[in-house]
Amino acid sequence: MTAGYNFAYLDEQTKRMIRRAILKAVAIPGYQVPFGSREMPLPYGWGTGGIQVTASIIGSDDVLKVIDQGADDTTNAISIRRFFAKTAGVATTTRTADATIIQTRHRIPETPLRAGQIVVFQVPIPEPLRWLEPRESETRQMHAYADYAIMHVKLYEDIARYGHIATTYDYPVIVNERYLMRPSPIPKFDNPKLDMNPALMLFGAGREKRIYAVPPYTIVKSLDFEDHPFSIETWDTSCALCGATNAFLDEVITDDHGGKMFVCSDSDHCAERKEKAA
Amino acid sequence: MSKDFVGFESIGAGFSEPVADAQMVFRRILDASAHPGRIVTIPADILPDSDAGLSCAATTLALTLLDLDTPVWLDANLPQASDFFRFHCGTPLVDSPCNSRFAFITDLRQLPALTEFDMGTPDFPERSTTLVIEVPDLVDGPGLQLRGPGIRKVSYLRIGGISADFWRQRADIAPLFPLGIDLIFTCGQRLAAIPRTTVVEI
Repeated sequence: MTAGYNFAYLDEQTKRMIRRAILKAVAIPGYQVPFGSREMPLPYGWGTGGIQVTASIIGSDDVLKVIDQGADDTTNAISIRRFFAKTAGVATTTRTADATIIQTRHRIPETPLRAGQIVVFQVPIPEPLRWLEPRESETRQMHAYADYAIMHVKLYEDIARYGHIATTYDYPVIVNERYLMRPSPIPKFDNPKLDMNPALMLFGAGREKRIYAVPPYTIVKSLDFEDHPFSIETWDTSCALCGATNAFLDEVITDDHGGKMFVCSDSDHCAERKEKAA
Repeated sequence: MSKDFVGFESIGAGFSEPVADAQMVFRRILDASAHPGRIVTIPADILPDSDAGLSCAATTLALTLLDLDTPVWLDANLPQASDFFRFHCGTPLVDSPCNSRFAFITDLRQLPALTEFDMGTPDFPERSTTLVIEVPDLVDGPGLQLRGPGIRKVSYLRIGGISADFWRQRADIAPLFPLGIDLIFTCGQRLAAIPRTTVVEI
């Protein structure tokens, strides 16, 4: 227990409200449940939705991992980890396998998740149809009647214009054969990990005041067409640090003369591979 | 004494560690909801002196999830729970099942038709009643076959006291998804969930 804060910062009334929203989100996979998002001690866009979800589920025996674009050692990840270490007194880790709760910005870890783990996604814009239809009243109707034609048209226009579906992140999915869902801006490389995953996935959007969920072992399908099937990114190079060939790679510029290298975006996965190789 | 006054002496105690206990109970309810058919157990020692007329599991669920924002419907069997809920949770009690966010049922013979509860609307399917049903028997094993989100292939659950007609009613409203009723079954310290997405075969 920690002195000077209510456990995990949020007050109990707020936690109850968020907990009820989470349970309904699990009961209606992919549907965005509105909730009374609170002011948090950091700006919108820094994971206020994810933090509120984590604060409402975390207990003193949990082990928390926080990643930002796959890395444990970035500003956002470190400050959120410290926030919960201080306000909840929980243990933190960078090891995916050791964590019970993984809060993430824009990646799903490369290490396969296991049953019992909970992944909390930080979501900037939860509504997959928002850039196509700005009116909430209209998008709500589209979800109510599963009328997702405009999203198919958008993907078709990509094909007409570029010859392929040009969406590479935040790639729309259908959850449990019903709700169109934005998987938060994870690269489409991570989309297949959403399908039938043994872990529980919770999504929190603080500014937009929405919580949604993908329960374990739920069918999650990336939208595509028969003649343009969904595919993920591939690289013709491997990680410069650990040699991984099947991980998501970041391009890092190394000098002013066009020098560059490709390295794993998942820092824990990369470090573990290097350790094993050594 | 006027009936308007709550007799404090007769109301059982709530959580002794409200923050930690509510968190622990919530995680078990979440675990049950994310894995339909899985039975979770609430430790008896977090509520040593419950006298709400409900099981340990149902009482701790109420202390964890109910407050002034959750209108509750109680069946006629639950006068003690009414005092307990008002005292500990501050919940409004409603007379009509369709106005409730949570409904607690102990008398299975008097269970209203499922359609009498709030199933939500197509725009806001989450604005629906969660039914908490006290059952005489809740065990793993052959009985109901459950399939759907949260279940890898199939899970099995035996629930006592629930009629075949109840499952027929539930199957009748299933096509209305995303509208629906989420079910939580409680028995002593045990709790299992069957959300609206679960396909139940009897």
